[in-house]
Amino acid sequence: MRIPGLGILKGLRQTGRNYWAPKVTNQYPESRPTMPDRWRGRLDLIYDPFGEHKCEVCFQCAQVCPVEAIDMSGFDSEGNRIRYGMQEIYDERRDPNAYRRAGLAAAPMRNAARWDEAIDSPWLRGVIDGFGGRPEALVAIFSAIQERYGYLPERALRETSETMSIHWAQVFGAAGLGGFRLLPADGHLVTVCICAACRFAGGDELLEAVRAQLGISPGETTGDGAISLETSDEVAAGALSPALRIDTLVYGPLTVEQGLHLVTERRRTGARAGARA
Amino acid sequence: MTEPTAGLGLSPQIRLLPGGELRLLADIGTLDPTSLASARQYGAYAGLKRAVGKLGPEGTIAEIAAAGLRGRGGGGYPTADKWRAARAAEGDGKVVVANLIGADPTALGDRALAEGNPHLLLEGVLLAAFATGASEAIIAVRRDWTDAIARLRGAVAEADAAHLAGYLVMGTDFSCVVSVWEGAAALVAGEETALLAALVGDRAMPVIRPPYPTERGLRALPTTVQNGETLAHAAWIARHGAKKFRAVGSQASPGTKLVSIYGRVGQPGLAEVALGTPLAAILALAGGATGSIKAVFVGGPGGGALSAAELETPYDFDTLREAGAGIGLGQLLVTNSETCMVDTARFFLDYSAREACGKAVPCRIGTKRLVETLDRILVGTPRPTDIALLRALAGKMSDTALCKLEARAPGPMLTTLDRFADEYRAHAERGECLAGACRTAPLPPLLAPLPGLEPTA
Repeated sequence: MRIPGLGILKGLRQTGRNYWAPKVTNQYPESRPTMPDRWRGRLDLIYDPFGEHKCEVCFQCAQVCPVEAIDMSGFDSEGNRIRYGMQEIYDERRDPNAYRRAGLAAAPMRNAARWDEAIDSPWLRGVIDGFGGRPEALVAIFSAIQERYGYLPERALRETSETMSIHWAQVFGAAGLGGFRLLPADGHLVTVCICAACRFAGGDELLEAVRAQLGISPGETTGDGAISLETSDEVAAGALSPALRIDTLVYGPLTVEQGLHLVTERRRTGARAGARA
Repeated sequence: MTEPTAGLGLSPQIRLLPGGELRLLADIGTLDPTSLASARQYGAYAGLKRAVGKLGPEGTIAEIAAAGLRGRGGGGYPTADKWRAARAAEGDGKVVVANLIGADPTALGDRALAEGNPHLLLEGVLLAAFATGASEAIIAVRRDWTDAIARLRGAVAEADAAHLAGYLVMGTDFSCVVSVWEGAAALVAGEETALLAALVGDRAMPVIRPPYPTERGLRALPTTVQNGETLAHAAWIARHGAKKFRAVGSQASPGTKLVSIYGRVGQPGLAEVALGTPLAAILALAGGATGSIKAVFVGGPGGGALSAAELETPYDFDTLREAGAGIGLGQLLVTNSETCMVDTARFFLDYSAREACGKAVPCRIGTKRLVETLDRILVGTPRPTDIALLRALAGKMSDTALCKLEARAPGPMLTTLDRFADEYRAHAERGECLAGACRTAPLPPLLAPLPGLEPTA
């Protein structure tokens, strides 16, 4: 049976109770409310005195967030638009080629098909089992993946994370360090060593010459996709300085002429191999 | 990945220089690194036998203390103190970690030892485990040193089979399981707490100290992290005695050190020298400098520069520290009159910036800002406060550092700023490189000279 006005009365009863109830003002900060254990306060970006965001868009928060709840984009100190997402976070804002991660049209993506390369799951599981699935073997597992694919494909890392029950953030963080490639390279990968030993033994001139010969800067690929140029200080050439690495072989000590000869020779043979296939 | 090295030799990356005071390197080349029998002919495991059979753990530490061995990884911390702390620490099981991450790729000492004489290293590891009471030992090797990893694994397997490692070593109740672990090739991975993080599969980032690893390290167990070269020295001491160890070197830091000499020298390579040797004598081993020598950068990215006038400085932990440099992993970069000091300082800072793990904000952003500031100076468009900014930022980084790499990263810049202020000034005020090495367009001089730069001489 419906009695007209009952709802209003019910509501008024509640209002009346609250009206006569004693009022409480918490004397913060002397008395503090109890918050749930995992309460971290309200998330907000703070500002500097000039009204600019203090956030450096370093992605540290997004990288370590275990539930991957943080997504962000912004501009780095060089004015490149960067955003947090799979291809972008490798070596994040320290990489001058941030445009590539931002998906901007500055450099056309030559090997788009390889960004989401399918991987050989049984093989990967075999490798992981070979190390007993122990988390301390992550670096060794990465080495094996890189040896097979030339870089660490995202799918391989995702699968490593799932198979080994390690947080994606942890797998990804460990992969970001220690000379692993996180992006595929087109053609032959020419790495010029820029460690202190190489640089002061003439590595500067070598890099300059190779760069002029190929017409590209480190991090880029020649127009025909035959050679990708890169610099690294982890070639560990020692007495071979100045050294240059083509794919996985280290050559040195090189004069500028020898270095150029190696690169052109590799480019020529590489192109021929491509024509055969 | 390079091809495996044929025969007994070392990778072509390592060139041993003749001369110097050969101890750890003495047998390399004649000894077969793949054979335990060959190593034993050269006295391998005699030191361990003496320690296990005669000295006992306390006696071994006392022997190391008498020898005055200091950590060769750059810190120069007395090894005996570290072992004593690890021995005294409470824990259900202790660990020894040999650090062969070779943080700086230009430092070749550990790689030469691992490839040329793996049993010497392994003996040092076992000795440390025996002295600290550890039952587990991990040799952490940089993953691109494939020869070193293979030879160390072979050495461990052979030693296990001969009851020199593993369970019940030499028939005593001392057991130590040794494993070889391949780690990331990165500068920060060589920092001891970062290495311990990487050893459990975390990303290699340093952790705040204390607690020191000797109290609470790998898997919360007391852990002795020791540079590979230090362990080899410990094995040498156990084999030959503390008195013989003190025969060379200075009073405060006896013994020898492996140094990698590179840059503008006749013959770059790896040498073993007595600590306290003047820098000029060390450079002579590498055939001397080519051209007129300007400065020697000691200790790589965490070291500093000594000018040509300071070449008689003894190569020693303390004297180098006083000069603003550091021994580092034994790197010696020689520069001559054609090298620009500002550019060299920028090079080292840029390396530190690229290799920064990103955990500590002063390091991650500070190194980058230092490089940007030096870039402005290099092209002759500095802001008036830039020199003051360099010093202030460097001071802040050292004060708030999480790890030693960060605290010492501004070293090359600070030492060159002190010693070669005129080069900084020429770059800053006129955009001109006194060494003629940098390609900078000459710029009209600024109206007012920069404050904070005092003329040298």
